[in-house]
Amino acid sequence: MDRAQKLKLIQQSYADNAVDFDGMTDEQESKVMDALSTILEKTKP
Amino acid sequence: MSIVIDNPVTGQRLTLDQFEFNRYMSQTNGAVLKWIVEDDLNKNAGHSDQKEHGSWARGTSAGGIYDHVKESGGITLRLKDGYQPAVGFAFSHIEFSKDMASADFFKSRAFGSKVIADYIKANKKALSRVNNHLGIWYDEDNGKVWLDVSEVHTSQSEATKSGEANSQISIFNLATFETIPIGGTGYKKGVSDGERQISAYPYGQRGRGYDGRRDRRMGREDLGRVTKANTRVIYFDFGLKPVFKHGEGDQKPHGSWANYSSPQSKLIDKMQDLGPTQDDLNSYVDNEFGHNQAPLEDLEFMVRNNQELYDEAIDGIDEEVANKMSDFGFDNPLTRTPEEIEQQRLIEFEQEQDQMISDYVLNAREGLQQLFNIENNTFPINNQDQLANSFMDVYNIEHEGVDSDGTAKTLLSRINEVYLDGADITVNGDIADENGDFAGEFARRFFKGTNPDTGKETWNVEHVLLRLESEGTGFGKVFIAQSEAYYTAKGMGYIEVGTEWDGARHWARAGYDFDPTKMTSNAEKLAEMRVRIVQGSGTSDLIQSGTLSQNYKAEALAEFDSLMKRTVTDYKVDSYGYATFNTTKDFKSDDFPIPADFANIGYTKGAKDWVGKQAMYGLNMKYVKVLTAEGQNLLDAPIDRDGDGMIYDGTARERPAPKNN
Repeated sequence: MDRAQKLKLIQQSYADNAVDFDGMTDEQESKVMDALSTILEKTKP
Repeated sequence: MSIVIDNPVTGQRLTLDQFEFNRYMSQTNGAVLKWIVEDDLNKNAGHSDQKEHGSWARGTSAGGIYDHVKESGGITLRLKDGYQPAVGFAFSHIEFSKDMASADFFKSRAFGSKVIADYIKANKKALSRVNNHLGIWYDEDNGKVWLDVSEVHTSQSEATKSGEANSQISIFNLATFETIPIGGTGYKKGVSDGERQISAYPYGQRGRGYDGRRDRRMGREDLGRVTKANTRVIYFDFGLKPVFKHGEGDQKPHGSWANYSSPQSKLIDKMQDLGPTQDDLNSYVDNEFGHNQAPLEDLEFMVRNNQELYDEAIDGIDEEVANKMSDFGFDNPLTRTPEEIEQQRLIEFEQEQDQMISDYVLNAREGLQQLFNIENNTFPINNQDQLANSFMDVYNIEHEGVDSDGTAKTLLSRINEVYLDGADITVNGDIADENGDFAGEFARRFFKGTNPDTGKETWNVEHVLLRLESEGTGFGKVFIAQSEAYYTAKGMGYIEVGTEWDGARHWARAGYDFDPTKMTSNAEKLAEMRVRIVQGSGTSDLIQSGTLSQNYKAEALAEFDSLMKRTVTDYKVDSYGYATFNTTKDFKSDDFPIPADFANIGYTKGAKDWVGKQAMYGLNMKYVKVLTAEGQNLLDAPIDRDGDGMIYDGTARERPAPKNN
């Protein structure tokens, strides 16, 4: 997967998982990071 | 604006300013109205002093008009120059009238201003006609606010003539507030909801509203910048352009960027017709630099094809031609036949005409330019007010939500100022709560640059600042989603952010990329992470609490070094643990890391703290997010937004768009 695709996946994941612009709980933050790390793991070059 | 009268007592023709005219009104008990030279005011309005008028709607921002209406109950305003007639005879073109509940209109400045701006936009053709004015008045009796196109003449006979042609029952004397019957039918065809009774909308019922709108010209000081008085000046030291400044304590995460879902796609469609286009931004900047002018030959062509302009341009030409014929002896019947004299007269006329039109265009260029814009329906954005009004559709947002404390909050963002900074355009604004108290602020800088993906020059935007006092209300998500939809709808290239505090991690997590034009600087900043990891910055407590293992450093450094070797050439680590390199590698290589790779260093599922989070804190990175409307949602059917028959759906190449697009 190229960089542009990877970034789009991350952007979409962030949009799906981030609750708001600000003020998320630790659990909500973890959800975002868990999704991100999964994407990075699966798209390792 | 002057008013010309013929004084029947003294036989003098006088040009009066507003003050003098009012004095005459008082002294003659209104009889001066009958002494006004017909159509002089209208003539001025039309063309004779175009150069004095300046830009269309100059000084007539929707916000300024709204303020005036709120203050005085109404307004009659010529958009061309902000002139408000104190005298004359008026009637309303009911086919353009619009009414709404005053409670709605006055519920907020942003809303009322938008109503006005939309009305002007929808009726710009009618409002651009010579005698027509924007009319707004508050009818206390039925609690409505009316918006209309009012036609005003200084001459009663002209008003009567036009009123009859428009089926008016009566006209209204602005100076005496008298309704003057003219015998029309009171019905007019062509109204959007069918034939409509004009008598149900008599001008004279404007009462207090009309009383409040007379006898005052709106000056730039009144109607200039949008809420200029509330302008906040935001300064940042070099390198300190924060993405967000949060409240006290931990920097919490930051919201839903890149909401590439169906709602976002709909939002992009919605923003197609809202906010300034890239051409509008160009127009504004060009105008500020004095470049926003049609070629002289285009203006001359317009003058030649407009009877009123043409007549004014060649005023006195017969005398000039006659003088020339005489001076050079061209009209000597002893040396020329009548045919030769007439032929020579035509030649001289042509030459004189060309010269007079050329001089006229040069002398009245600014006013003619505005007329040119109107006639060609271009209406380019060419002053701060117009641009600010247009940006209101993007950045003035009202949102109801619940903050992290469970308290209901309504937040409203409002543009304070739009201005030119070099060749860039800056938009600043405040965010207020339902009580009007300060609840945050934002700053955006629009600039031209090359799109990293396409290589084309586009307008781009730097998100300089967005700060909210209340967390978690959802306002930021809505604000950002609408902004991004607007940028995308207008084909802008990319969003740029400079990071501070936890911004380097946050935007990495949100899918931002390195700014390729500042990659060397970015790499130098990234190299600082290694020292932080070696020194264990911010991690000692994590080790003690068991969050980090004792050998976390070695694992984190190995991961970091691996990423840096993909980022730069000649990557080395000295004996103190400092990273050095020669230059950056090919940014477009798929092997080249993304910011999220660095933010993720040492992260384990469910962790609240990790090495990447700590080591990235405070890095002043430069990130970009390239904007593209295609492939918005990787899971949904892609949309051929640029109409080239191809779509970008996240695959490496474009493929043919579905036929149903």
